[in-house]
Amino acid sequence: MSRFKSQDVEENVACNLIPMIDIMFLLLLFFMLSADMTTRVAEDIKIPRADMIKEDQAAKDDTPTTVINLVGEGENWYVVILGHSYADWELLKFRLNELAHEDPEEGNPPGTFFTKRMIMLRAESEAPYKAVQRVIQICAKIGYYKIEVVAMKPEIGGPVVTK
Amino acid sequence: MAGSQDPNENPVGINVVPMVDVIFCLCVFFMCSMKFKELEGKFESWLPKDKGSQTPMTQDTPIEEIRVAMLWDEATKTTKRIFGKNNIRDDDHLQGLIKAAHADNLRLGKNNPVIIDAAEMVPWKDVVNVINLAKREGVEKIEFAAGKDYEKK
Repeated sequence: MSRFKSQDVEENVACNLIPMIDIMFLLLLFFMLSADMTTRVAEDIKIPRADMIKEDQAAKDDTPTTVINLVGEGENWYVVILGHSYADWELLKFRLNELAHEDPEEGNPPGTFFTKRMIMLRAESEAPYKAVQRVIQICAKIGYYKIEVVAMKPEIGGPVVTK
Repeated sequence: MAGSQDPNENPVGINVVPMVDVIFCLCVFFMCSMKFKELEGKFESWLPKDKGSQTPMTQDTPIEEIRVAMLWDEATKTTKRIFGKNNIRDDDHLQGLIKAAHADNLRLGKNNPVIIDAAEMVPWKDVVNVINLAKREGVEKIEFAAGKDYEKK
């Protein structure tokens, strides 16, 4: 019996790539789930910052909400709702009127109309007050009274926001 | 031959290298298209439902309104704020005045709103700043002055 075997054994060193493929699948799953492919409610605009803002309660109590984005520059300001631009104020009034009548408030006195639909107003920081005022006036005349002004918390040195 | 695979162990060999390539491409796509979203909050500014109603004035209900006027200086491109007869120097000055006025209202048992009366060209961020200052002092109701009626032809 030979005690001493030949030591000339070729060592096959190969990387096991199966764990790497598992990790890649997990990463892909994470990014796919976190990707937002739906119509954006909130436009990518620079809104004002304030530290006394309250978190969004409408999402918790199912209050019907319309997000109005006021965008533009210079003298040209217009509203964007669910990706649709409304440069014509009459068209905006028509659309808001449609939305308001989808959710009328119970117990409206005769001759008046109020809607329980909430307006979340997201306006650019540099938007002139007259544009915002006009939007609020249109909402008030249609019957919206629940208006919320959206702002962001001031930066505290956290992750940089990518726009 | 050294290194050759026994065909009896794996008769149908599937080459997974292209699949790994595709997975990498997909990962790169989703990583590049990902955006971090900042959380947003809101201020409630519910409009009065009894708009246009005339409340009768009595002698024992003096008008005590907290009105902040905001004017736009085209020359310096800045917003000037006026509270009563006071020209506002800075945010702390305005916040102090709002605090005092609000405290007076509460002492009288009233909860008058802060009325923001801004000029047309005042930037929205300055208006939100005033709202923020009022909220810091516990003012619950914020209202916007009626101003020009844009729908009137």
